[in-house]
Amino acid sequence: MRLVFKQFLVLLVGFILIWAVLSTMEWVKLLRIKENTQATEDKIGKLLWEQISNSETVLERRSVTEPMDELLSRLCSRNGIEKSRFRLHIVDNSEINAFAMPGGHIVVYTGLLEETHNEAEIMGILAHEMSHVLLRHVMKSLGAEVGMTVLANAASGGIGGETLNQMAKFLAQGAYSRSLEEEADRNTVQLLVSSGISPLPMADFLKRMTKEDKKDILESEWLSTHPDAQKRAKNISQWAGADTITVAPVLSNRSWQKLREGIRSDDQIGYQNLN
Amino acid sequence: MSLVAAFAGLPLPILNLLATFVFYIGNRRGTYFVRWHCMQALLSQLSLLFINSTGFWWTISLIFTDEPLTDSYLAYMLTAVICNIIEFIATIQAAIKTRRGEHVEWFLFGPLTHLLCKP
Repeated sequence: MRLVFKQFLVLLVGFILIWAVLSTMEWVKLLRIKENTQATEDKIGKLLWEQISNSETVLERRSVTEPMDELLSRLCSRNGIEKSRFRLHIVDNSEINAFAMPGGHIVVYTGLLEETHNEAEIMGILAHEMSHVLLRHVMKSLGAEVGMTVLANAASGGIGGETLNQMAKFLAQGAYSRSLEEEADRNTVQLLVSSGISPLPMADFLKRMTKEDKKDILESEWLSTHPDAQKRAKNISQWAGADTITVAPVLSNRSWQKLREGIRSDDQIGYQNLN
Repeated sequence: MSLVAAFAGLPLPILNLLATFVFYIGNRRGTYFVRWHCMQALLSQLSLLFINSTGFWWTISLIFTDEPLTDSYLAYMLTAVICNIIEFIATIQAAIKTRRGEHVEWFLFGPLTHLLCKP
C-alpha cells in the first residue's frame, strides 16, 4: 500500500512538473492563436455577409451611411477601439432588427432606425451590437449552436450554402443567452458614457417598445429575442447612475434630418461601404 | 480493444474507460494472468480519464464561457497528450509481451493491481 502511495505521488508530482515547465512557454504567442482565430472569424464573417447581402437590399444612400458612420466613429474613438474592427451595414428592411456577425460585421435594419427618436438611441443600438462583437459573444454563441468543427470547416469553405443560411438566420435572430445579453447591456452603458452619450435614451427606447400600442413591434426579432425589455431598460437606467453626462450631439441637425429622410426615401444613390 | 478505444475515445474520455471496462468484464472469468492484465489496463485508463476529462471540460468552458485561452491551458493539453502517448505506447508494448505470455508490470498500476486482483 505504501509503495502504491509513493508511486502515485511520484506520478502526480511528475505530471504537475511537466505541466508547470510547459506553462512557462508562451504558447498563445508562439502558435499565433489570436491571429489565426481572428482570421477564421473574418472569413466566416465575410461568407455570412455575402449570404445576407445576396438576399437583402443593402442601403447605399450616403445620407444614411455617412451619419451612421459618424456615430460609430464617436463610439470607437472615445473608447479607444479601432474602427476597422467593425463593418457597419444598413439593410433596407422594415423589420425591427439589428445584429452582429463574426468579423465585426454589424447589420442594422432601417425598420429599427425608423423607430428611434434621436441619435443617442441609435448609438445605444450600435453600442449594444458592438458589445456582442467586443465580448466575443458572436463566435461563442455560433460555436455553441453549430459546433466548432462546422465553424472551422466554414472558414475553409467546406460547408454548403444551406448551413451558412442557417448560421445567418441564427445570428439575425440574435439568440444570445440572458447572461450574455446582460453583459452586452452593461458594456453598452460603459461605451455610451465614455462617448459622452447618456444611456437613458436607450432605456427610453426599450420602454417605448414595450408599450401596449407597440405589441406588434415587441414580436419583432430584435426585441422578442432579447430578454424582458422592461427589465433591461430598468437595468440600463440603474447602471447609468446619477452622474450627469454632458451630452454633446454627434450629428448636426442637418445630418440628423438627412438620416431620417434617407431611411424613408425609396431612391438610392450609390452604395458606400462604411469601412 | 484499448487501442481501438483510444482512437474513438479521445474526444469523449469516458469511452476509453468504458471500452476497457467492457473488456475487463468480458474476461473476468479468464485466467489470473488475463484478469490481472485487464485490471492493470482498466486502472491505467481510469487515471487517464481524470486527465482527459479535465482537458475536455476545460475546452468546453473555453467555448461556452468567458474563460480565456491561456498558456496554462495549452500546456495542460500538451501534457495530457504526452500522457496519452506514453499510455498508448505502453499498451502496445504490454499487448505484444502478454501475447507471448510475458508478465508486464507498470509503475504504480502494477502494485495497485496486486492489491485489487487476487488469484
